[in-house]
Amino acid sequence: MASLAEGQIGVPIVCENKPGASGALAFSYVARRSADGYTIGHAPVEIAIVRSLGYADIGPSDVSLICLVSKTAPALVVQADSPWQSFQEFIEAAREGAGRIVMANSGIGSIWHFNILLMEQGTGARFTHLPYGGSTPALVSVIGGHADAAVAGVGEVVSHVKAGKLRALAVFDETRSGVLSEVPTTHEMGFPIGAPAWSGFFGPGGMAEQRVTLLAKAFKTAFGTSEWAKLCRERGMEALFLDKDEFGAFAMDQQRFFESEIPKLVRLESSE
Amino acid sequence: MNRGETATGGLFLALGIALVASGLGLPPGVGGLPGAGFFPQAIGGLMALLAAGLLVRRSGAGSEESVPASNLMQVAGTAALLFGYLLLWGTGFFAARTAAFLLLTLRFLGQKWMPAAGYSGVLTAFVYLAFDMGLNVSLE
Amino acid sequence: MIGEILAGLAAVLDWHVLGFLAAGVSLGAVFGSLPGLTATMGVAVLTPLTFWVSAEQGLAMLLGIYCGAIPAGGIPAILINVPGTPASIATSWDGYPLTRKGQAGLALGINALASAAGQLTSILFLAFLAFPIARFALQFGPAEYFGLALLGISLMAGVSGRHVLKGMLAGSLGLALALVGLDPMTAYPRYTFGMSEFLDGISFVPVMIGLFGLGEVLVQISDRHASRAVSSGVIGRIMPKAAEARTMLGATLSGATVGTMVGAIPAAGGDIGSVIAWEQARRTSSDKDKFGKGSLRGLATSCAACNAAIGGAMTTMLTLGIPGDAVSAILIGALLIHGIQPGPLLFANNQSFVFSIVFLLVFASLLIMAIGILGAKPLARILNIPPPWLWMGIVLFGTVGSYALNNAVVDVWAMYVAGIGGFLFRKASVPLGPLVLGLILGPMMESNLRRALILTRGDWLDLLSRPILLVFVAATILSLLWPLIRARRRAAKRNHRLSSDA
Repeated sequence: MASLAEGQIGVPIVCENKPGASGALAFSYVARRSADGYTIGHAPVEIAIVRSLGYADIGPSDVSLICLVSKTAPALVVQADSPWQSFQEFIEAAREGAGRIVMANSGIGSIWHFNILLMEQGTGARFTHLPYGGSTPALVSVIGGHADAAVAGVGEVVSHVKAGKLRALAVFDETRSGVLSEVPTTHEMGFPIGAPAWSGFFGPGGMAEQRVTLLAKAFKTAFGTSEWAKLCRERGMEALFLDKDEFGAFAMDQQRFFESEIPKLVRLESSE
Repeated sequence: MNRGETATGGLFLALGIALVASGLGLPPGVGGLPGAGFFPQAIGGLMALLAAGLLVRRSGAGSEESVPASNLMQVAGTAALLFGYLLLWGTGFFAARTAAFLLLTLRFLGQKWMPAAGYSGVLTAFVYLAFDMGLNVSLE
Repeated sequence: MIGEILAGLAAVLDWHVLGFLAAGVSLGAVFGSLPGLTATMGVAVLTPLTFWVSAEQGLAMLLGIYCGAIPAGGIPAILINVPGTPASIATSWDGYPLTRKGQAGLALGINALASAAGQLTSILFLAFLAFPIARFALQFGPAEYFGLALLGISLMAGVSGRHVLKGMLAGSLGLALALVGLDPMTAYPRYTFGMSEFLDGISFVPVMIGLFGLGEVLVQISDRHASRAVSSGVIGRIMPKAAEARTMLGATLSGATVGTMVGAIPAAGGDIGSVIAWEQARRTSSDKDKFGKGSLRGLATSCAACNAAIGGAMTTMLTLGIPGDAVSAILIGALLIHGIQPGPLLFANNQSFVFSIVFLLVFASLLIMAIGILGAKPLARILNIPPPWLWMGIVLFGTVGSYALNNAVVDVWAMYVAGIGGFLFRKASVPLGPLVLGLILGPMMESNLRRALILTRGDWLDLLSRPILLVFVAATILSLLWPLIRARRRAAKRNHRLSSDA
């Protein structure tokens, strides 16, 4: 995205990766920088989550949101030769098995883990949770037959599904995914569950209005290029543009959602 | 038994006991599974045992080498300059700060002014170009 | 099949592709030999540059960096006892003593030859046994990873040299340091002292740079003007004699095998592989007392294992689409940009591309051999640089390199504190190898044991139903008991001899 937007604002964009604590370190770092618009951050869904987890006291309202550029829905996968052919069969087995099905997740507190908890809450299924440090090892454990199922982003599972190693049972979304169009959605099967991952950009709180607009315009032009569409398609993301007001409303909505759901979900888990 | 080993053993014994104690304060596991405190306790216990072993062992001849006091001063001085440089991280310009630190340290280690200044400049420029320009790491 | 092999070869036999490969190997050598710059960093930084060239050219460049950086990491390990990459820690154990004996040239020559031999062996494994190896890697569930970590940790005693008890203490300190951060299972913060910088744990690379880079610098400062400081700058011959080559052959091949297998397992790479290979070679060697004091076999086996891990990681990446280590994770991303999806489909639909990769790896190993041997003489001139200049170079690259990893000053603090610790430990004859093993393997051991117990519902005995784990546990017990068994056998032999004399 950076290289696509670069031509639009006439300033080279320097990408700096600041990993750590679900992104909490990067959010705090950008929020502390001066609001001149020269330091902006990449805002994934975790910006609406980290406060609820207690990693950093920061949320969408503390920063200047610029725009949102993509969305990724979660997908439920099982091993290709597992007995469950459909989501309904799987949920049925998970209800009866009372925790006999082992569900790998990409880390406690990650967005995909929440989706598993939402699935338990929304369907009455119960799993044994097997936490990993990321989506890749979680999916590998399903491919290797060590865990029964996993939830990860559509883009992360699609190559393994196409290679015949994994079977996708459901995409947690309202509409079908472009790259996994043959896979039914949870909504169409009567389970309105799912919290997508999304990604956008933000700057330090109190950025001047016109700078936000300028940057948003640059990103919007980059968003419109065929390269971005191609990149999104390849990575299983949905290209979706929200400008700063829409993004702001959406992010606050998401934060409220996580603030109300996380305590409930955590209770659900500890009661097992 | 030599003093260095006693000190090492004592330090590790204390650290091991502290790990076990703090591990008890971490959330226990549920349903017969080890929790967050299991490994701190296990590792702390292992460490305390090994440290106790070091303390009771009848040590052979002291294996420590003696370091001349002047060299020890140089080590301490270099370390002090390093931490000084780190405390100043983020103030002023990277290049100026770094070149000054290199020059001071090289002087401290007995290098002549002119070659030391030249080398400090070249090394700083090289690192700045490699990281800031080449690797896109913002050093300022 | 033959057609695909030839097509793969033809795609690589192109001046542009070979040029990019050579450029990559040379750049990789720079990244690998400078402490503070790693192979991962080099590949990550140059990945965007490859978007503008063809898939073969881009891949040639990135594979070149990867293959070039690993043996280059052995160069500072051999010459100044500062490993350039984590994989070359074991290389310094026998390489630096050789330099002290005035045989720096030979050590560099062996580094080049054994690295290339190790890589070529691992490519043979890739070419002929890719799918069995990939199936083996997939067998690794939580219990098996725990077994691997357990075996690795049991090597602590073996790599401690004469100071076993102190080595084990250092190892337990490494394990303890690895506890810092969010608990891998419950995400409960441990020993973070309320600082969000510590939530992700202590970064391994800055600690390594500190222990081995800054620590070594401080040790050399304290040894200044002493008689045991580094020798005359004598380099000696570079090529090993035929007899020496024969003694190293077995160690090289066993190192390559261990390196390939460990490299194929996701999240385990050359750093663990070379230590396991070194310890295995030591234990089975007739001149085990020489290990750690300039043994040619020890050097050859660790160098071979480091580069063989590349072939192993590539096997997992190409057959399963799963990264075998951090570098291959970035390579997968780069291939995706070029519209190539590594995985079983690649083998089925685009075999010629797979063979292109095999040939690229073959040419890369020939290049590292040539560059390594031709470069040995000029590189050894490092020994003639005034030591303070060398020290400041290491310090500055280590400092900025630690910062550049995560753009975090806390990593520089970690590096400096580890540097002071490394100095004190070495002065107190505490071996550092076990500490590194603890740091790398601690999280692997803890999270996988706890995962395995989730799968067995808390039943410890049930863990033993996994055959691979049983093999690891048996190997662990054997490696802990071996010194005792050997001592008994010796005593028995002596008694026997005494009685037959009488």
